[in-house]
Amino acid sequence: MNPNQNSPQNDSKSSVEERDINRRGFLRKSLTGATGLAALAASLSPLKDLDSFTSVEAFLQKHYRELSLEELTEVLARIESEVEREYGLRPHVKDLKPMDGVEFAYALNLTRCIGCRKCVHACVEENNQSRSPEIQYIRVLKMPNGTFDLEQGDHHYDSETVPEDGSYYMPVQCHQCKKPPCVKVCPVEATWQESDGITVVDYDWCIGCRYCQAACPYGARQFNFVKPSIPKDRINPEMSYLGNRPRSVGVVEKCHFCIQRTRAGRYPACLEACPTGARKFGNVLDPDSEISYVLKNKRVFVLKEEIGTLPRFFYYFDT
Amino acid sequence: MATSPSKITTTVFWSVAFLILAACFLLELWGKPRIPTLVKVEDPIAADVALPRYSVAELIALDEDTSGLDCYACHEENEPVTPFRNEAGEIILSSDHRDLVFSRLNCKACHPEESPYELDWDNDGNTIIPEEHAHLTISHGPGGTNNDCMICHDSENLAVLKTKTGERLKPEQSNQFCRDCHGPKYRDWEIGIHGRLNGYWDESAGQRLKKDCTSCHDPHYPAFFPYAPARAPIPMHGSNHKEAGDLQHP
Repeated sequence: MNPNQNSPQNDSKSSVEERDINRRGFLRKSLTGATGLAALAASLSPLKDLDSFTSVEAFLQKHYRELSLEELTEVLARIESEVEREYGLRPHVKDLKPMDGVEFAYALNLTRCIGCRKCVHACVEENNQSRSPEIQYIRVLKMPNGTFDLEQGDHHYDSETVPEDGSYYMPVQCHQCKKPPCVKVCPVEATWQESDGITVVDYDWCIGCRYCQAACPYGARQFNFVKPSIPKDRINPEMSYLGNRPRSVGVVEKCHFCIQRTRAGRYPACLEACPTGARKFGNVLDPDSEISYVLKNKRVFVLKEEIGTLPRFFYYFDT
Repeated sequence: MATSPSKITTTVFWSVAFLILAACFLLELWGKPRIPTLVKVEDPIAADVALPRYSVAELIALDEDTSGLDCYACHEENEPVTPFRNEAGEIILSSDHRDLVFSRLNCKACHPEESPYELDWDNDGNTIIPEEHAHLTISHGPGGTNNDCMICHDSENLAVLKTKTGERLKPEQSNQFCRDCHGPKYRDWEIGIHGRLNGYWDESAGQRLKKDCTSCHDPHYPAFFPYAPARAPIPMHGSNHKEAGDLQHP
């Protein structure tokens, strides 16, 4: 406004004609300016859809392993209230520590596996994974008989009934390696191996660079490209910090042997759902456990042994 | 002084450009996040831990109807049972025992209560057995080599099982009975590496629950039925990798 108001005074030889031009010029400029401002405002409009900014506490939170007990309690309470606000039910967020003298291992009897995918869905239900898009920790590969060539495995098989003649089924999930390449590549130490052998992810520390996903030779890690969507009535309220609490967009997640169950002494969800008992789990340091018996008495093998990751997930064939 | 045509052109150009820009932003004509395929949530039955069968022991523990297991509802008591055989000496299978097998099925393990299975009847009023359940009444052992009822059942009292050593066991003691022939499997089951386990791996924290042999295996048809698998994973952007040719490595 000001330049137009001032212009007649500044220009002593201003005429009606010039003022008319100035008014036109003003209208022209303000039209262009208003349109430009509207475009700017419109370009900023997506910001109004951002409703969940990271809270200050979450932003300033320390790395999981640097948290004191009081800080950890506060963090767990914050997660509980966040989950309650979003899903409308109060969860029990715990942080179970690894037990002394316990190292977990898993064995899978490929003769018994029928490829029914019950483990996949039991895992999704237990671990609050995103339903749309689907994030699943277990992929059941349908393999032609007589080969271990994983390239020939198909995890999108859609058979009417299983098992099908001429194939066997090989579920693949996180192998909880003793030398995990995913941990090695993480630039921010958001993933590490716990003393009971479970490789965990601190979802609050992960920056979403996906190096670990690229490093994992078993394709065990999944990335949340969008905000996970979980129906409110299907939330599992028994949560743990390093386990199945709802993840945010832009973080990596993976199988953690159902840390919220196994550290409380229970079997993982995939094992409990397996209708044929193909899955065996336990403490490998206990010589009387069933997993120790399998490792001692069955011809177990691991996937991609030659790359030296030393998985804690074993396969075997049985009669 | 008349407005030069070039000035008007410039103004119109910028106005139109800004208007287009504003329209693009408002209508999100670009930069719209690619909406992932909306996936239907899988039925919770796919993750259910129930087995499609009940063992006799479980049926008794659950106080379920075991009337279908009463042999003497049809057979005459104190009268030895002689199965019908063909000329080659092979047993002729009786479809009457299908009811007995059905009475021990846990239908809810596969059929959710919200969507009850509709039964069909033929013109004579008999239930049409769905294909998934249309198995032989008895086929035990490779090629049904143990189809003779009296290998397991006591011919004098059908309600008990007779081991090879002459020991008589109730049907709910099937674990002790099956080991008579299936020694190595029984050993594995005792250790916990054959069959399903539920509950706690750490027995100081809770109970480790084992299933009976007949919780999973139908003693008359021990092999597992072909099973309808749960739904295949749906890729983020809808296209099946196989269709897209991603799996076609050279």
